[in-house]
Amino acid sequence: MWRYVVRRLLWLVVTLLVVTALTFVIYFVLPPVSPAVLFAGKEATPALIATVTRNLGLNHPVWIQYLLFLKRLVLGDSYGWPGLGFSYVNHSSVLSLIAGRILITLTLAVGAAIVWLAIGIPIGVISAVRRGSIWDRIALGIALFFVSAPVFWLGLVFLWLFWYKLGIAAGTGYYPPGQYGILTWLNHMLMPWIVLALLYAGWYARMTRGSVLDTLNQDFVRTARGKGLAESRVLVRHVLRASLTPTLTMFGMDLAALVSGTVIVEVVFNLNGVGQWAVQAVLADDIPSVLAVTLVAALAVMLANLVVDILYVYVNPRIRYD
Amino acid sequence: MTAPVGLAASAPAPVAEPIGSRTQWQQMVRRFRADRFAMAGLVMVIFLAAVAVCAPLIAKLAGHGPNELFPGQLSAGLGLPTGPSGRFYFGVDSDGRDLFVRCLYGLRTSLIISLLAAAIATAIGVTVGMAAGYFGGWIDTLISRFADIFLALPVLLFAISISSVCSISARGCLAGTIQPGIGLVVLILALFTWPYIARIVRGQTLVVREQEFVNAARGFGASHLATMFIEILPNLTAQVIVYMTLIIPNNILFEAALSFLGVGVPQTTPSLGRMIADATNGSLFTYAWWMMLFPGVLLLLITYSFNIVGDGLRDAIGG
Repeated sequence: MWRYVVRRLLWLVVTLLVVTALTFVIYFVLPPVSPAVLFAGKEATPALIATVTRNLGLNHPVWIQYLLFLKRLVLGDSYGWPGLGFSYVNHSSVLSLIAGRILITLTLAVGAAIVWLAIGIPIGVISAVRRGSIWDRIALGIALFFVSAPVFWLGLVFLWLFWYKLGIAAGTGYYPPGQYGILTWLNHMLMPWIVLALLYAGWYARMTRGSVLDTLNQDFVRTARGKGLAESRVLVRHVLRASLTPTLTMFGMDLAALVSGTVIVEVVFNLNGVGQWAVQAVLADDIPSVLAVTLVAALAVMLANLVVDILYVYVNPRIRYD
Repeated sequence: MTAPVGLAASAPAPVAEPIGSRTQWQQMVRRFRADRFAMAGLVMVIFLAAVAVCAPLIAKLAGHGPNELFPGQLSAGLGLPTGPSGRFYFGVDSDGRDLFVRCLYGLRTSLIISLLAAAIATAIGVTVGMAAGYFGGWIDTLISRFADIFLALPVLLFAISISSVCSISARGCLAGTIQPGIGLVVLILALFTWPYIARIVRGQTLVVREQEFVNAARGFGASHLATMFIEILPNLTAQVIVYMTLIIPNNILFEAALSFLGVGVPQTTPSLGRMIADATNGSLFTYAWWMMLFPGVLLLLITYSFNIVGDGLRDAIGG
């Protein structure tokens, strides 16, 4: 077990190096203009471009530029840790810009995850147990509908229907609970949570169904039934426990996908989280901010995957990593 | 980007006994044709593809070009667009352009981008995945690990990044080899979807590699390349086609999302995602519901149909 954890940590270092290198190439090697011009924003003076060139060490060879890039990230820069640079468009350090928004993004993601697990898994289980029934077909059809629907469009349709036409949901925007009270906050978060969750709920329903169907055919389930256990007990204690483990690994993989969904939902519902800000930064040519969000999101996903992988060993004793 | 439907469950499907790939094909076709749901999806895909191909023709029949302005269709005072009518089936957008014709052209854009990207991703994925499965050892480790990292990247942000740095000047990226526009979106999509195909192909190659006809081919002096592409590849086609089908709707949604966010195809190219973004301008969609409804329904129809077909194909090969 410990050997696995150590090996996994070493692998994490390699992963982080690859991810940072990839990001570096996109921002420092790909662009047709000097990164300094890119980073300094639209109305940069030659003096500012010279400063940026010096700050980023752009007069050094590329590989030293990469090491400097890593060094700023790992050891921090003059704006704090981790070193994410300065947004010349916003005249503010990128770190402070992210820090002010990350909570909204996390609230959105965590809330949505709870909703999709609460919807997806039960539907998948019912679908599997009632395999081939009309409910199974309907559930699968609806699940595929949400997997196929563009998230941003679904958000707009929900807004049009529940807010504009029916008037039963709150409109767009983020209302901090401290300022507006928990109820107003909840009211405005409900629809973003549900919209973001529906896509993944569709997947999880499909995955859980497949996984439960596989487990139902296993010998130990037949044994449990043979012992005369009640069907509900067989289902909960034996089938569910075995078939939900694969869902956990999926959870790790989905975090990367969740980032995309969060960006889109933040834009549609006008939640001023990190995702919406990243999109605004692109449109404002605020490249240091886009770089920072991409990097932070990628690193966060890699770290989360590490946690999921290690948890997986704990919950699934059949797997031995050595 | 999210994983194409069902790719996580990549249990290697049973490979046909050494009879050859044709019987496997026939079996797949027979099972697929028995699946009414999947057949309905296929009919829908073919219909929508035909409509997209004929878009210029239909536009000519309707008498409206995709970028033609009809200021008479905007209300006199506020200049608000008007809804569906006998001459403008889907209404007009805020610039007074025919939404019906634009939707058809948008569908065309969606299909061109998603099919091209899927083809490129498949070509890369098959080559790389087959190499990993066939040679094994450090080549396999290197490729598989690299694919793993790619699968865990927050794709949308990387796509936004590439798109923003490469669109900053008309010169594009890498000394002009990567130009802003449709090509850039295709490249980004292909770059982030090949690992799905590579993974499936690798697993499948591991199974096929052990079969006697592969040994026989090697024994007759076939080179590694010949063995891979002549002996092994035909046994992978069914699987590859299934997962290629599942990547296409994913690509369509991703292009739409990029264009919705304003970092996808350029302004002049009609795109369903961008049309929906236009509808959000000043919350226009609360009034001009048609600007949001028709492009969205079209997107949903095409992705839903592709997903049904992909699911049906996967069931048909017993995956």
